[in-house]
Amino acid sequence: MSKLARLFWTAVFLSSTLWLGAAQAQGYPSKPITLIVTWPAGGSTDVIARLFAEPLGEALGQPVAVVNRAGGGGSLGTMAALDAPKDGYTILMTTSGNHVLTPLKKDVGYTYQNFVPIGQLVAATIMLAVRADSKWKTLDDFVKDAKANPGKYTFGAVPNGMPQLTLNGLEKAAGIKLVHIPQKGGAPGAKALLAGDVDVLPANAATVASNLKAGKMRALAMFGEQRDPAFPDVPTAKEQGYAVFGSPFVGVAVAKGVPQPVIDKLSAAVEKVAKSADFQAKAEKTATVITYLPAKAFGAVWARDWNTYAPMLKGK
Amino acid sequence: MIDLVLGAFAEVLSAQTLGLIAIGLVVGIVIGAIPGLNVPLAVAIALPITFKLSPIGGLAMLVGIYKGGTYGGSISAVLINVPGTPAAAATALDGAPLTRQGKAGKALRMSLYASIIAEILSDIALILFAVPIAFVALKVGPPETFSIGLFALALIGVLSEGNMLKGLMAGVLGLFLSTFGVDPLTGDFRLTFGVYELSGGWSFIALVIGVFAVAEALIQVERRGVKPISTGKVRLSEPQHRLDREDWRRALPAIARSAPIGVLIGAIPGLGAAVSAYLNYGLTRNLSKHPERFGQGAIEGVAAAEAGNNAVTASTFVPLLTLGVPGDVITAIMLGAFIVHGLVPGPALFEKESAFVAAFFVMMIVTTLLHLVIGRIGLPLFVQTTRVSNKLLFPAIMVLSVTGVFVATNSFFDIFAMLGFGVLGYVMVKSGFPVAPLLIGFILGPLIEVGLRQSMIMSRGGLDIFFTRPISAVFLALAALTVLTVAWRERRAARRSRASDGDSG
Repeated sequence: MSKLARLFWTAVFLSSTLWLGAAQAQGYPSKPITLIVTWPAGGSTDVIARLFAEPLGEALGQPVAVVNRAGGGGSLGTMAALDAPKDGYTILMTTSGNHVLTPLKKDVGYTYQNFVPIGQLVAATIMLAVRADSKWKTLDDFVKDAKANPGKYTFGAVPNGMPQLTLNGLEKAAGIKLVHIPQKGGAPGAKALLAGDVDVLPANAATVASNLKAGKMRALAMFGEQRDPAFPDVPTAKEQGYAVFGSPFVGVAVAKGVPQPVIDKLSAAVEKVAKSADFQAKAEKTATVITYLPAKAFGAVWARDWNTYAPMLKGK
Repeated sequence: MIDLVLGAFAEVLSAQTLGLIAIGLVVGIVIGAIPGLNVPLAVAIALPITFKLSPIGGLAMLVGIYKGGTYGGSISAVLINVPGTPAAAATALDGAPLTRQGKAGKALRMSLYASIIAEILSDIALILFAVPIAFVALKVGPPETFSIGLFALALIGVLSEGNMLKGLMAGVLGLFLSTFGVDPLTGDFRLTFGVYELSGGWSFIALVIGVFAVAEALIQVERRGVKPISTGKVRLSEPQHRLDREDWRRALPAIARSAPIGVLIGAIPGLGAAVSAYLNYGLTRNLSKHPERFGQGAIEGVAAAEAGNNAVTASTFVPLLTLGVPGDVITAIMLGAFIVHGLVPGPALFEKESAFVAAFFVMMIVTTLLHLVIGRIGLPLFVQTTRVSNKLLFPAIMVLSVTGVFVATNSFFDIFAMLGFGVLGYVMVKSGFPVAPLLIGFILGPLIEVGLRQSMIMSRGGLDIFFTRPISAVFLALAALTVLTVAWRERRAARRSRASDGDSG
């Protein structure tokens, strides 16, 4: 085939897909939309997805059904979103775990670059919690003690989850050595801390919120840029001299290849819902603060986290 | 205090709340009884509905589904030898033989009453002793989980007495199948063979439905022309369907032991209804003076299994309400129903929301009482299943199995996995392997593995941690004792059969 002919056919192909895309987008959405959640029903991501699905459906004019495809560190659901027809009728509620950490750990057939960001909904906070009767009152107390006793103190966390990686960051920054006792989830970790099976617990704020509020646990630090409005008394690690950050995200994404007009429609609807006072109030009740970021900024978060965690996880 | 209780009764005894409990119970019993549809899924699907209801109304419906579903699994276990839920698999061991003997009503009655008695005890334990029970549950760390798991595993030996080798082989196969998927301690993938559907491990639902429902269907295909168990309308009032004094004399001690054990198991996060049912069934059989009756339609076997699994239904809320940690999958899903109304379960709830907690407790009791009423009304209907010919029944069960697996996991792979497990179950039954140990191994595998490996990290590699922590030491001793008694009984049985061989020869 001559160069010219190839160019011609490419042009025909491109314009036809564009035309098809536009035609599809015009009617979009004309049938119910599936929102894939990569974690089990009832978890924190699932709850926020279910709260989000209804107003999103109203904004789009078609119902949005939540489907849980859990397993494989979230990779099963993420792959399902990638394998679905690229027409915008399958959208993904994506999280740091399935979007960044799992593909870094293992070749699961996708990376964050296979997806287009639509909008971030949540940027959670990771806290470092101890039991209320612990001898450590500040992060500094703990670091000093741990420095004097390397390998003595234990922490509980899901293997290679955001809380563990954040604590690994603290170990590096502070020059301390802790023993990791892997946990099967956030809730078992909280139980292990209360029972005294581990000494400190890095955890999502939502996991330990009720025990912090009831005074059964104390937070030594939170790993955000700013203090969490829900816990204004907990100082950041940065304030205490350790620039360590850990902030798992939850947001909406679609597979690359979905027509741009569809993406625009979805982005507008997601933004509208995320900014609505009603949805924010409902989310707040679940101890989740909505931190909306538009598509571009959300995509930047993906790249930032990918580059942060790649050296920690690759080849592990 | 009086105001609180009166207010709680007023809220729970409203027509709306009672209606929601009743809906939850009926839905739960039906879902529980249908192999393929499972209770956690039903609770998850109902969860968004509760966002629009009052907190107590919404939770009442979910608790109704939970309690009804945990009981409902026994109905199909008894009537067609296919447990509707994993927790009811132990009920089938003696419930199904009773049905074949034409005593379906007896088994159904016992599973209802044993369930209700255990539920009431569990409700009371939650209300009066939540804090001390939570204290005990906190003492159960990784070494204790390992030892309890090992004890439960030793009871496989009891379940397969007279057929020990094959029972143990099935148990080991279950343990092996549980190791597929993500390594729980390192997050690495193992035994996935590059198949990404396997990265979450074998689906529990596919396994349960496969080895029980599909395998039973395959077995029924062979028995062409078998007549239904009953012809004509089944009347529950006939003597073979009633519980007599002798039945109660056998069953009551089993219930009295299984219910409190089940309550404690429910309060320990991570164990759950199926572990409770098996552990109590195995224990009752081991302690019985006539272990040979079990598996042939022993009414106390049905009682122990059903009291065991329903005893967890209130105590799983103990860790949730006192520690803010859900006790099992279902309470983890219900957590969503709490927090969406601004009720964050945990130690603060009792102080800040005492009116809600009081209403929640009253609702638990009322749900149990309504469960008795609705379950009893249902019995005469359920028992008519024995009139349906298997050639109509099992094709329907196959359809439900396939759709049920797909609804639960949205995965075609799991449908094929289920069919594969069905063939495995069929081959096992045909060659004399008991299937229950396979399931027990699969359930206990992760508990034992994670408990062992976490303990070894805690002790920096020393085995002493299992003996110096008292609860762990007790369960290790019980496990050793179980193995010894079973070995002794097997030996005695072998010697006896050899002696009788000698007589005849």
